[in-house]
Amino acid sequence: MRLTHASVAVANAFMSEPWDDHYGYELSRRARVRSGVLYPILERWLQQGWLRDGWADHPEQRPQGPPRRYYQLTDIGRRELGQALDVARMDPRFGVIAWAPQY
Amino acid sequence: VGPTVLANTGTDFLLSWKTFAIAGLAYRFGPSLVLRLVTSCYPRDSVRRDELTGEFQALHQWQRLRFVLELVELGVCEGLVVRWANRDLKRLFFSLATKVLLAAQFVVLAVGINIVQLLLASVIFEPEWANGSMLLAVVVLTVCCYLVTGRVRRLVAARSPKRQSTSSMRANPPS
Repeated sequence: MRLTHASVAVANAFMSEPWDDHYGYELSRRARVRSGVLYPILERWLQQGWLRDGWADHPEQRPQGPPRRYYQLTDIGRRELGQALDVARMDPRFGVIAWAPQY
Repeated sequence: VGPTVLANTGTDFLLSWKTFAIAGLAYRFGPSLVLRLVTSCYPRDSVRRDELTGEFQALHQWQRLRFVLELVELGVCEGLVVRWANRDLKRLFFSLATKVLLAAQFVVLAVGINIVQLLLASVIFEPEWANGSMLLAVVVLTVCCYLVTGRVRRLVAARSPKRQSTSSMRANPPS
């Protein structure tokens, strides 16, 4: 995985809750990454098999609204992103992003 | 300084109900419009269309404006690139040709109305008949343009490749 500030921030957002479903907008807010950067990263990780996706309803917000696409880490993805984060935490360029707490 | 001048000042415009109405409408419907434009950048069978719409609908109104403004970049950088990669140059050419033809129709109409009105008003009609002559010119030129463009459009349609309908595309998505 090519380490960039955006990919490290998104990896950190995923790995803060590695077993949960994540949504695009929520990820962009947590990682503080623009949608224009986030979605291509997600697409790339989907193709590499690090993520799986699906469609989920959100009845608590809009019962009649269209389903949302969620992303979930696969076992390979958890391992790969974990390793990438370990590398990033050693690298002074990514230290702050890789350790940033997620809310 | 009379009341007419005061009514035209910038402050009055800012505080007028029209400004608030326009701002409210833009706030309410602007994000949906931008989203529609962004999703239309993607091919019809793209998953991203449904994904972005789903995300948009799940957000609160005050989050939507920022979300769609970010999506403009995505639509241009991802959607249009995908469209360009899957482009069918022949179809693109004929589609553009039809649009240019329609635009040319309006230009011809506008110029022709002016010319014909001048001729009719000065040669045939008295000056007080100017409005009537203009109406006549509009009717005559609209019919002419309609006939000409209809003929050209049929010609273009006959030469352009057949387009797959949306329903058949959904039933048989491209591999």
